[in-house]
Amino acid sequence: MAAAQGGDRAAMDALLRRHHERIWAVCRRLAGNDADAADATQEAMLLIVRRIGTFDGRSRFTTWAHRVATNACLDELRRRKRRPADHLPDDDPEHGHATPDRSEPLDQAVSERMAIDEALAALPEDFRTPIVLRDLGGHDYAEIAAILDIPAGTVRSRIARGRARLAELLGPGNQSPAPDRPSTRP
Amino acid sequence: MTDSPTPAEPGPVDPDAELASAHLDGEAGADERARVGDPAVEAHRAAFAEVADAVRDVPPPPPGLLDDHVAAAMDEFGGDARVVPLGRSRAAQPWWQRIPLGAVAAGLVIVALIGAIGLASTIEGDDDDTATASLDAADDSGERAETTDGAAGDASAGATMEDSASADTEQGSELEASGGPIAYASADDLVDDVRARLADDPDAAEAPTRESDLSTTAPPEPDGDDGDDEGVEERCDAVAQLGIDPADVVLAFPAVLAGEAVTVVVHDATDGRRLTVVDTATCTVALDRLL
Repeated sequence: MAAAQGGDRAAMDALLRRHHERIWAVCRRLAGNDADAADATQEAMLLIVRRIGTFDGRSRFTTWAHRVATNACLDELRRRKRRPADHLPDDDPEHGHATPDRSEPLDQAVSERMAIDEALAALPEDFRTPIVLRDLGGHDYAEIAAILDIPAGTVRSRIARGRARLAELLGPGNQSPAPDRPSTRP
Repeated sequence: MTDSPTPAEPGPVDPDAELASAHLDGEAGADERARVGDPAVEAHRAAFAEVADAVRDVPPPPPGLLDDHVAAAMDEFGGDARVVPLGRSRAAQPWWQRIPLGAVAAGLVIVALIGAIGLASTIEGDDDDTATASLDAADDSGERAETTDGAAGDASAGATMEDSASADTEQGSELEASGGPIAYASADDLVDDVRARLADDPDAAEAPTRESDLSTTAPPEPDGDDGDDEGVEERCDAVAQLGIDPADVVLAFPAVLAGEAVTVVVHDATDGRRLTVVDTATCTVALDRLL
């Protein structure tokens, strides 16, 4: 970490590679699809490089990096949501369907992933983000509170309420299309 | 403890669900853990564990994405004194566009100023009209060579020349001697020179740069406000651009790095002493690293 801050390219390269997978995972779950997640992850990596000098060591580097990455992902997704022509229509027959056709046989794992994508997309961002930071980022409530700049008690209640909603959505007969999908690119 | 729901939010939290969720995350308090064995809490906990597993089951990144992302990010990295691309391909420019016009113009102004001052001192007042004219010319040129804030306000013609010729710091003696911003072939050369300057003058940190130094960080621009701005780079207040507290600035001077007019700023940051190089044409950071 210190070497990367000091300008060591090899150290910076190693730092980025070490954190890429988890940042990808966070962005993938926040975005709901690979294309948006890829762009958001790229933006997050760029921001980490640009802001590495501002990391002051008062928190874990992972916490700092995830704060940068989370904000980059959310900013990227908000930008995309403001650009209606930036994605393909949901029912574009040339490019498949954003909403899975349940009548077609699908690999169960893929089907389950699509279901969780839809369920997460159905959650408001304020609830989706702390859940993703908890379950994928591995942060405790205090760290999530610091990343999102909200009280730890709010983190606790939002995670609980979000999980309860996800449990409902993922329960039998409740895997409906998501109304709040950030983007629908295949 | 809980925030109130909005129409778009999930419903109000069930205390059992909140406890189950917190327990799943190892965040339940000691007094709460006594209730964990409650069947209602346990039912929530089991359901939430499945949800958490589903959230964690993320598809892997597409092949090659890691390398692409790291490569792009490393292009932005200024480490090992690597200069970040400045937004235009110098290799694509014809040779005459690669000449640092600002540095050349600054050098010409310095030569003219030296000549004017030399002439004035030779006359030594024998011909008041001529001497006054020379000094006026020197003043005028000096003012036009200043970058922003009128550092010559309290200066004689000689002081004005010094202000405009040097990089606004006492450490800019090389600039005065060479008649223009110091040119560095590479960032490594720049870093080495800055380190040498700081080693030669360990008091630099205790001798904050003058206020005028901080706001006149761009190389001297002889065109000034005279309207002939075509091809002249815009001025850039590097210290303000970087958001640096002027009190933290140790050293600041204009230079030419790999043919580009830049402002070099050495400043104390929370993580140590940093060297930041700002491209004065685009007012963007070209290099930023710890010293």
